[in-house]
Amino acid sequence: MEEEDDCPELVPIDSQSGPPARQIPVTIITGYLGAGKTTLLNYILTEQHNKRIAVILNEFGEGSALEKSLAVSQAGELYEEWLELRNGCLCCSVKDNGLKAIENLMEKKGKFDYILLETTGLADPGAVASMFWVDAELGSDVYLDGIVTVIDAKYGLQQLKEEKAEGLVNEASRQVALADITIINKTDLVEEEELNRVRDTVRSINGLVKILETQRSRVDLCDVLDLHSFDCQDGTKLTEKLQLVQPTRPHLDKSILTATFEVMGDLCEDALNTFIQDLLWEKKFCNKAGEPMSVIRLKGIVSFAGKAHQVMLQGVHELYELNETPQLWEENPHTNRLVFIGKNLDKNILQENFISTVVMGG
Amino acid sequence: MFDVGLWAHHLLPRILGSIFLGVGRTRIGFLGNRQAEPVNGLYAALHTLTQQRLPVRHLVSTEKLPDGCILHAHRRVITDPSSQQLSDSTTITASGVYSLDEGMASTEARRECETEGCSRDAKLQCPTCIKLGIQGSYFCSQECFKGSWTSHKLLHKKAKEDKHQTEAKNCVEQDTNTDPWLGYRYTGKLRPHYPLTPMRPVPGDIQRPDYADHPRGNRTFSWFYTIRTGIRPALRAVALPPSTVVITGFTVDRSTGFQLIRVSWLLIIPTEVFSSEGDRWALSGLLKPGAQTLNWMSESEQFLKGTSQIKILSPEDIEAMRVVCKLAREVLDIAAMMVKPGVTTEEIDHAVHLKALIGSTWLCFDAATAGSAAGSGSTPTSCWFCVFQACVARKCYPSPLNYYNFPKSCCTSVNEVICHGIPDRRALQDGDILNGLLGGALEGPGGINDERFLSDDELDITIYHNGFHGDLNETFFVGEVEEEAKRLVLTTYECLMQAIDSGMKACRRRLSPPPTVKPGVRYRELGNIIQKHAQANGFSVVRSYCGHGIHRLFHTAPNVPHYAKNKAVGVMKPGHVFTIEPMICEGGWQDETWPDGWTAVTRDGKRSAQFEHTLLVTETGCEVLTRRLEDNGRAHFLAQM
Repeated sequence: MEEEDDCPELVPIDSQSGPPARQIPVTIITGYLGAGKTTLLNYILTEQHNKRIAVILNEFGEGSALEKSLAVSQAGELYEEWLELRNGCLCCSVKDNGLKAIENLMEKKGKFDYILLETTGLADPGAVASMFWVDAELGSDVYLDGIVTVIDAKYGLQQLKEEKAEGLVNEASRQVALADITIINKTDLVEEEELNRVRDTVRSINGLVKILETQRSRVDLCDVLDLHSFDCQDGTKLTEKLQLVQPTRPHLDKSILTATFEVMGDLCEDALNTFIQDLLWEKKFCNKAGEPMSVIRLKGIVSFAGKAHQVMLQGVHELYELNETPQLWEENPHTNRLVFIGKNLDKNILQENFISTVVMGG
Repeated sequence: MFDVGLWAHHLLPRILGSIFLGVGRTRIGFLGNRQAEPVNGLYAALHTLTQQRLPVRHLVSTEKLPDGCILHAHRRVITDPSSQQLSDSTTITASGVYSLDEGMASTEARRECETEGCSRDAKLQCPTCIKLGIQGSYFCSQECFKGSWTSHKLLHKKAKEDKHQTEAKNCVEQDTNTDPWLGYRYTGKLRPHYPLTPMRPVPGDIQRPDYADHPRGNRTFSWFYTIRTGIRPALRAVALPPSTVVITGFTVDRSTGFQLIRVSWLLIIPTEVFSSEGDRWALSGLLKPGAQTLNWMSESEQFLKGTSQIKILSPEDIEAMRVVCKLAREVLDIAAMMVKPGVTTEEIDHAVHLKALIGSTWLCFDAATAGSAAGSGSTPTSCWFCVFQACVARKCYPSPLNYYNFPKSCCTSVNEVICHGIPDRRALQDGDILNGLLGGALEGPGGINDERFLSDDELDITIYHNGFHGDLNETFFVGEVEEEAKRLVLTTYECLMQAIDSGMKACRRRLSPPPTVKPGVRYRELGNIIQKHAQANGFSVVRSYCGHGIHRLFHTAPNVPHYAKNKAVGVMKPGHVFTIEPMICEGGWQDETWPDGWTAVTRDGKRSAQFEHTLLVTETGCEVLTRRLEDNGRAHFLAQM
């Protein structure tokens, strides 16, 4: 076809490149068996019927799976998609297999509005979270929005108090420790007193979490979606939350609890990094009984010398990140607030060490 | 042509309806509105079937689908889908259409109008160029475009001529298929050259890592067991008779008229085969035209996956690592001599395979034999066979072989391939840059004196000896290479050396810089150094792949990303062994993978180079285990700069 003499009409450039225009939030929904996770999922799907929501069940546990099914709800219908956990170098790639599979699917089939991931009952949400909590530099389409834990009001207390053998962690309390939102479900099945006990136990484990009480997992969706718990958008909210956190007393001997402290002044960045690494990676800090402290979740707002912006600290197990928030210190006093959720924590030891090594001129 | 829409709307309900009448079931209705989305209807129908717990028999019986896909599902066992013979006329072929993957546009932020003398922002593109696959062609306005039309249309003419030429060439080379995945849009000029030679055998007396063989099944088609859980628990409860094959999912490609891309199926096994009661076991698989359906994992690596505990090696382990890394270096050096225009990457892979098995005793034959054989243009492989017979086996296993099903013994990455290129029939061209990732194979530096093409080769080598892996790679020039490519390769090498210690510049100035790799350094720091140097030279760093720990496992903790501001966990301690392997690109860093599931290419088709060393952290600094022992430890390409 010789169209050489016809000058065609120009078309706009297909601009698919550059940083992702919109990132899709991933919410991890966890909780013990029978707590009401699936009910919550179905509720979200039916309530948000004008959004395109993807639901993944049972995380990406089996290593040998070739593919994983994913349910997509759109306009009231539920249909199935497939995530190709293709073969290839699963080894030296930075992104997790499951994450790449989701991105590939979105590239082909279009972006979702939300991705909900329901874990199995005994799963460690921290491991699942680290899959999606990727470096900003990777330019991923997906970001980790938050972790929602569902607790059964009737049996929750029992599950939380269950004694495990030495060295093993109680999965239910770990799920609460990592939660950004805790939903105490089936409140219609228990008395007021019982409910208070559950609430207190949850609060004793995790001093930061927001607690919702529901029946049949009916929540207000804006309390559960768009949490932005892991990025800087949470800045001002985090500062307020941190101010309200009280350190907790353990309800059980070996349980997880929250420790928090406040220190004035500016910090040395390198020293803070060393402090966090000693705490999270090397596990150098021990409590008075000589047991090493293990931190499951770490949040804080800190001030570095010479930086006008407030810096947010986020940590899950061994992964941690320091990010500048858009908030400026301005005239406010430079108060560094840190919250630790974990086992064998001793606030005084941590605070002393912090003041002596990290605070400048301290 | 097979019309899914027609089928889904009209025929399927009838087929199913008629089937189920016999068992007293009602016709299955569809969920919701299917007007615009016949494909969703298909999904929904299958979903309903599983939800309603209806036994699915005689689900599909169609005539020939496009591209040779024949699909029948019956109550029969699929014995060997790779062959055409299936019991009771069940036939599934392995050809077909792969999904279309829309190539991404170039990653530049701002584009300038292509008209001479006009440098305004360009927001429009020539549609004919898009159709012909010509990159670029950005213009600011229709008037500007019309103005340069007379010269621009020559581009179209040339592209069409080139296309005719390549098509003519393909006709001539009957054996080689350079377009195995229909519809896939390549980012650059490189093409795969299929078919690959079958997987090379490794003698039985050589120690193999756990992924080298799998206890179940053969390699062309394998089975794995799974209990179906999750979204389809209904299937477990369904009273399906044994040996039923259930088609559990279809994927069709709308843009090509609903051609079938993939079928996932389930085969119910009679429970007496297994000891556990109650659970229904099912074999499940994925039939994807043109690609493998199975996945061999290294179970030892999977077991440790996700942990960030970095192993500290004992002195004996360290000695073993030294040995294996030295061997890997020898293999690379030998292969370095092989790289010349005209040598195919498969030949290099064969040499590497043999070399890993043979070991250093080959060295006494090397320079003379290999060099002259390669130089004369005859296949070097014949000379290696002689050597193989004459020499004592070194007993190394080429690590990439069958690692997660990688088909060859080394990775050869040419030009725009970032890493994990599969050696095939393509002959190296002058101007290529080749990176060889060795798992026991070496690729040598290219030949000299050919002026037409410019490319770079990367050769990456890993070998497994005595229970340990060693890993290294280098980029080589094939023939005469463009200045830009040389600059890229040099910068990449500098990035690696700077991450190890401030090597290159300091050597010239004869300073002794403080080593960057030493105890107490965080692994996340290395990325900052590498990215800083790459960006200073106008290049980008590939994000998707990273360095890794290596000892008894091929890839393990720590993860060493090469980009800045990463969250890598870990601090260096004496006894840690890991690799640093920065991949630097001329253009954007975004990568994509070919449909073979391995070859990673740059999205914009521009070149990429890589270098890798395995490092041991010592009390005072580090030891480069894979350093070159001759020529003052300098890389091969430096001799050609």
